[in-house]
Amino acid sequence: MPAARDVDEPVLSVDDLVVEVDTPYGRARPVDEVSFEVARGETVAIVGESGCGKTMTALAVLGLLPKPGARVAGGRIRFVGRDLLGLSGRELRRIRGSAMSMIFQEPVSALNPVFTIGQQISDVLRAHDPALTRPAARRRAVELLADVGVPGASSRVDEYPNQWSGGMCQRALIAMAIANRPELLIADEPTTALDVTIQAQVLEVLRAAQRTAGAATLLITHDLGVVAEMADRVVVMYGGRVVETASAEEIFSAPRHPYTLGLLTSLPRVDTDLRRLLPIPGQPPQLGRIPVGCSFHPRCHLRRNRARCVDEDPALAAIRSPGRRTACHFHDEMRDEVTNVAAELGADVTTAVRGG
Amino acid sequence: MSRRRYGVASGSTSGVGSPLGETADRPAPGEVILEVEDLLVHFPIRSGLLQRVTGGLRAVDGVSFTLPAGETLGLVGESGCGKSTTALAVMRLLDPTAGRIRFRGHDLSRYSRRQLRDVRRGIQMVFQDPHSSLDPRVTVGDSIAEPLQIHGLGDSAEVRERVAELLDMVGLDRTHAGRYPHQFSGGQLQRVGIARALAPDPQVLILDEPVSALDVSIQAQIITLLQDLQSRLGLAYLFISHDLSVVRHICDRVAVMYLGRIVEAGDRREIYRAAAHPYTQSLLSAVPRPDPGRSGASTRIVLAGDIPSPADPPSGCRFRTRCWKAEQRCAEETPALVERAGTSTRSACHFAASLRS
Ligand SMILES: Nc1ncnc2c1ncn2[C@@H]1O[C@H](COP(=O)(O)OP(=O)(O)OP(=O)(O)O)[C@@H](O)[C@H]1O
Ligand SMILES: Nc1ncnc2c1ncn2[C@@H]1O[C@H](COP(=O)(O)OP(=O)(O)O)[C@@H](O)[C@H]1O
Ligand code: SF4
Ligand code: SF4
Ligand SMILES: [Mg+2]
Ligand SMILES: [Mg+2]
Repeated sequence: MPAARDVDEPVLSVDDLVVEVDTPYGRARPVDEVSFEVARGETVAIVGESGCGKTMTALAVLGLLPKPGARVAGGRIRFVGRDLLGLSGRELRRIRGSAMSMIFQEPVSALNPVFTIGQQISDVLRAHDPALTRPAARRRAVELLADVGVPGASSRVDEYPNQWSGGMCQRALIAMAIANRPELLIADEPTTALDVTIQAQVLEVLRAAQRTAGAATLLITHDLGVVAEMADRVVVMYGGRVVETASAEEIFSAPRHPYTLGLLTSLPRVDTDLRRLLPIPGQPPQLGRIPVGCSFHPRCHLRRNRARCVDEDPALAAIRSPGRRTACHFHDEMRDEVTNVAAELGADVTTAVRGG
Repeated sequence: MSRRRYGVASGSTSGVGSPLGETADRPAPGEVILEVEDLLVHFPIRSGLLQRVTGGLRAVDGVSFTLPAGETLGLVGESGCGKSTTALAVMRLLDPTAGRIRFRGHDLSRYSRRQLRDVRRGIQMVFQDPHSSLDPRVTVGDSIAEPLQIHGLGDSAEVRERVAELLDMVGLDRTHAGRYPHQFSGGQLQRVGIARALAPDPQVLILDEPVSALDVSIQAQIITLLQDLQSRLGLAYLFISHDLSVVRHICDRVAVMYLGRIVEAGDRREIYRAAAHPYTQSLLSAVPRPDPGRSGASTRIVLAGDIPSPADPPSGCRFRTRCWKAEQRCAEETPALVERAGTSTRSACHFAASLRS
């Protein structure tokens, strides 16, 4: 690490990242000029429906894109002042598991079935600090498991993954991910495979772990409830592109892209009665068959048949509100659109889409 | 038992004229159409070299509910609590260990496979995963026609016309009957699954996690479709889901399951406003709210521990190993599912009444 580091510099900055894959229709871009930043201590959520490129973005940052098949074809990824795309495989491996760590969706398959939980945590610790003795690493593993709320950690540390439930395995993975006090935690759908009461436990553990490690977090999820609860800022992806970025508060109260609004009006609510849902018509685009112009135009309610949406691809551009960006030619009309839609959904939904 | 109606749109079937020249006899809205009583489904646990039966897994252990015509009953609970097993037993796709299933006066639990076939026309099922519930080698038109052929409904021209009408009804292009499942997206295939279930003109649909595999924008399309179909056709739904938000939006009544039993059941509004069972309370509080200002994380009841195995459930109240209100009595005495004074909600908790805030 360079000795003098600018404290204002983001932990992670991704600029115009392009990932290319080969498909039966030819070359395609599951990630197409994606840009976002994660500041120190901040939690940034990437949201979007399946196939929109969330996981590919995360894998590109981690240097773990599936090989062969997928490759970075453009852009820059800077992590605490270093250009990740210029690093060797060995250097990347050193960063992963220490300065940058990850938690995946399927906790059970992310663990190695032939080693005990304790051995796997010890390995992560010893890889980072070769001077650590085995007994010391095991003691530290027990501490970490206790920190993430594994009851009876000192006896359970010697068990194998198949003796643990999904929620317990996810705790073990969180323990491993924070073991070396990372600067950035990347969590891809960390609770999607879990039941809701177990999800509540794991989110609490994740929050506590973030706090102790002081880690910035890139959280990937399709669950807007999890976003609202965990994220400071949100990046909305559609068809491989970023269509909107804003604070979590703004995404829910004053979306400035029609797709973001469509996600919110599609969402049944546990906390209020809605008169009806307003689904987005049609289907998300398939890789290699992204519509021309604005990729959202075949499904867009705001388009109102205007040719510009088909002719011209809207760039992700800053809008008046500070720090916000959206990729829509007609984002100026979004304020009215939000008001109209909220009225149609029923009075209660103003708690969700408050207008403005 | 409450037999109130919940203002469901008219049960009229007009506008969906059956080309089969036969209008199924329709129950009056609100009339109990499906009744399940003390349903038990125990799976044998085998072990040892000889795979001898050494115990029983009580997947469903005394479940009772009624479903009035034209209404939606939500069956909610976490993974493994017995929702799908209940559905399969009601469909007689597996044989219940004990209990009664009555459909419009017929006791299905005693019927032979042959007798079942005729009655079952009235109850159809939609599954979670549209990819695996449709045969990849059969066109979607033929898949939709299959139940019509099984029940001998119409000649080939009538069947073709009915398939086209069903495709229209679920919002698909009627010219796509000759396409194969791989040519459709997940959301479209779920529409095919619904069309197939609707084919023999049933009065009850059992929907097992019908939107759980779908993205949120597609999920909203299918929920809206199901609501439309219900008001047009007067269908009753048994709607199985682990998603408490979806259930709030679509159901009239809700039954919450835990480890093979219903722990609380009642009117949707009562359950969501003032659940009395500690498990329902914790389940509702666990759902993250899509509202950053009021996330609910601070008032959340986070349960300790995992769900016990249904092969070895706790004595007394099955929730007691995770319940913050548990007392000695909970280990000794199984709480009955009883109505609370002044409500139509039934709760299986010794201390339910005192839990209302
Ligand atoms: N054929 C079977 N043989 C043995 N056990 C079974 C069988 N089918 C289900 N079970 C067990 O019965 C219990 C209830 O299962 P069921 O599939 O009904 O749960 P569910 O509520 O539908 O869960 P999910 O939300 O995961 O779909 C579980 O413990 C399950 O493992
Ligand atoms: N190894 C691969 N080769 C080619 N295409 C892939 C590969 N992995 C994923 N894709 C495609 O890339 C797109 C984005 O995928 P992904 O990032 O996994 O989406 P998600 O947002 O659901 O995480 C999808 O269309 C997916 O089918
Ligand atoms: S650019 Fe046009 S099609 Fe795209 S989101 Fe804006 S209004 Fe809709
Ligand atoms: S009966 Fe006892 S253990 Fe069961 S829910 Fe009520 S208080 Fe909790
Ligand atoms: Mg993914
Ligand atoms: Mg199931």
